[in-house]
Amino acid sequence: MGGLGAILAILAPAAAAAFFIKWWFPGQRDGLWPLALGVGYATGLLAAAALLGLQGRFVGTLSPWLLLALWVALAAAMAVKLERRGDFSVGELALPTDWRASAVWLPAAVLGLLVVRFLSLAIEQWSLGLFAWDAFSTWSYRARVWVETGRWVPFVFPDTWLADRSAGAQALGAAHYPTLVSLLSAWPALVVGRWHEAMANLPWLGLFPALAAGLYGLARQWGLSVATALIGAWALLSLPLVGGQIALAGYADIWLATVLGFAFAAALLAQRSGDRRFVILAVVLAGTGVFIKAEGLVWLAFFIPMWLVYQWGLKGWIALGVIVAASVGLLAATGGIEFTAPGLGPVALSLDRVATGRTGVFEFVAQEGVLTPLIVHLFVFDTWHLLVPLLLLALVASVGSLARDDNGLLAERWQQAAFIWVLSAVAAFYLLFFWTPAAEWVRLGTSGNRIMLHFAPALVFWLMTLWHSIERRSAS
Amino acid sequence: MISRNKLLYSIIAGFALSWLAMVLIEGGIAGPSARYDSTAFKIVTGQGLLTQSGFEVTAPAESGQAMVVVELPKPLEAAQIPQLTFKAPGIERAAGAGMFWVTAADPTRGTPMPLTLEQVKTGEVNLEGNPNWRGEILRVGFIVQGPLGAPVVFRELGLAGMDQSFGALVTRVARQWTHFSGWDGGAVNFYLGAERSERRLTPLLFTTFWVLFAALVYVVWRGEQRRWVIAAVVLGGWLLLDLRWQLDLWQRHGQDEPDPALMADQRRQTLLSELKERQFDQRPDSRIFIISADTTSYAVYRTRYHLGATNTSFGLDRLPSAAERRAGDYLIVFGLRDRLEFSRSRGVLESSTESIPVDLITNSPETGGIFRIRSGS
Repeated sequence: MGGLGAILAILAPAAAAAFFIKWWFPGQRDGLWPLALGVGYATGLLAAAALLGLQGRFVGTLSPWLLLALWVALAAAMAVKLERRGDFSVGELALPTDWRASAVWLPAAVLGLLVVRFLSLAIEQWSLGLFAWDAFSTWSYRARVWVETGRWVPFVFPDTWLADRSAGAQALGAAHYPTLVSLLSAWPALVVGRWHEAMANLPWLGLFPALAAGLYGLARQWGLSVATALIGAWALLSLPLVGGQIALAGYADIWLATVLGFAFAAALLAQRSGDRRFVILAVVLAGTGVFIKAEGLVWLAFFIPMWLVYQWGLKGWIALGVIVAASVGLLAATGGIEFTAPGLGPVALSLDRVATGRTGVFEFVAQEGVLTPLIVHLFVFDTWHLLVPLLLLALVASVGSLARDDNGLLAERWQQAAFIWVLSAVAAFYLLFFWTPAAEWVRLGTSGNRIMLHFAPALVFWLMTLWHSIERRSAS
Repeated sequence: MISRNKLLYSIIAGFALSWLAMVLIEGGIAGPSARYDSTAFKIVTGQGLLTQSGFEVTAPAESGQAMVVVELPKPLEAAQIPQLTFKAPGIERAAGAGMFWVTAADPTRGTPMPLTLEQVKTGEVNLEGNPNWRGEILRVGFIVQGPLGAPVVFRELGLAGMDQSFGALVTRVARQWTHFSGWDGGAVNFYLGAERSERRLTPLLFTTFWVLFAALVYVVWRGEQRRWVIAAVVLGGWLLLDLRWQLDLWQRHGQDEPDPALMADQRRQTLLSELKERQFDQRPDSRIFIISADTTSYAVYRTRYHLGATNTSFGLDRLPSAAERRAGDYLIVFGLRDRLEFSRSRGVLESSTESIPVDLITNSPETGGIFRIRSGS
């Protein structure tokens, strides 16, 4: 089917999921369509990859046609439903007459910036092919093998491969990595009918408008103006590392960042509005992260303190403190505990060591020589533009606002919940890089920024909620 | 009401204060000019001794070379020392002259650089822009090629710190803003937005100062918070950085000079595709072992990627054992000349522990040596 087939393979599940979300959220108000399109793109494609993986595991072959037909049918059925309800009707379009008004030129200018960046990244992605290391060594390598064989070829560690030639498996150093992102690459290429780097990379390019639309839609739902929501989306998409991960397609980080960011926003929307649909959306999105990268499981834990604090306010903070103190006390008294957890395998926890079958062993030993390279990467090199200084300012302002009579930026429960999520991310970052051998990732400049990237969309959304709070406080 | 004049003046004041910050940063940590007299020189190879006229190198070693070195009392950053001077009468009469330096990144190995006649005559070496002059410099030395008719007398080594004038600082900052690079393996992990060696005068640091000072001046001057003005200043800084990143992206479109590593990889892909069709795909049950001292090198991973759906190993640093291999399997060998030997006449690939009868299929720098294992192994 060639390139058009690949585009259909991407658009069909994206449209099906987007239409479903739109159907689930009726009405035309406040960025619901962008929200549906952005979140729908990410969830639809990940669902398509997951179904392909299930077909591979249980049927053995990876022929995409039945699944493609299913997605097209689903998209069409949802489109009919929406059409009948009038969701596609845009009403009367009123073109702005006064382009000098900031409410007109500002969004137009920001959209222009986004379009230019998208085109630039598209040219780069197309001309670079499969360029990035982990992409050709691991993620997309698996995809290529599946596409070329048309079968679900299992991957095993090199030692296993060497020892047993009858297993029919291929060797991979990172055989334990989740398969979902590899399946994302394989899905459009399978429809093309051969391994095609540019087509296998296309899902990453589509993530650019999806991430922008999703964040914009969620921000509009939060109550931000068109211009502010667009500026927030632009701020995120302007980050050089986000652009780098899209141009150099094939890595899992940008997908984990997307679902985690959307999940964070949905969780906050659920807390503030009480809308259960956002609860479901948050659970599905955050849960999906577990299947993208091993870290997704750890980041899922941030939602526990968030939920505790939201549910019980001050009591939640106390409960959290008690849980942490009791856990430390238990581990100190027993010298560590061992158990088996679903999805994690055998788990061994002690004060100086965390080991799980899935994420490997992390020993807590104070690491040296991390602070300087970390400062250089966050404050000197341009990976994050001004995001990191702004986050520092936001953290200080949040804590500082407790001195106000109304507790300022931490007055409401959802604000405290968002704050504890951000603190959890900072704590995880600190523990990982200052207390485990992962410090080497910062010293070598490999994964340090990519871990930060996982949190970036959520952090940008958090900044937008802070801005909204300040705006509302000033207005009242 | 936003006072436009005050905002404009605040931005200008922020700009000026950012330059002040840059001056302070540079002044605080710039490599000072340093001079080392003849007592600092030590002989590494050849013969030499300290005399009243200086450190005299009288004869080269058997290799024909004499080397002297100056150990710096504390490491200096190469980027801070754009120029080096020396006084060494007699060096112009040597058959050849060069210098070398040792960095903290690899303290065991020196980076050599031949000196031109002009440099030998003037005793001045401009190192700015030299791609190997980077990192923390531990030692600087000289190499003279014998025979020596008369001693070479090393009297002084000078390390000229950067020009501390404001004009030179402006030039250096401007150079960072206009320094654009291409894609590399690290681009998926970070974006420098400056020269690799630069950790002080980067556009991000400058913009952070500018935004911070402009906002502070405005707030202090107005005496009240103007959130929209502060947001606009922050976003202005963000936009400035982003336009620079956009320019960087634009200049990457259709770059004229292709990366040599990528060119080599394209040749590798072409050669391997032919072999895959002719050899590997004909024997789907065969295994392909990629053998390399560096099992995770670019060549290993790209080879495996180009071979796609073949039964290929991850990268081994040894020959496969008898239990792991069988006749009809393939070996792709990169380097390892010191550990493996191929006897063309006997058709055997040998290591200290294994001896495998093989047929050589092809050999090229891009594909490595590709062998097929014969029966009888």
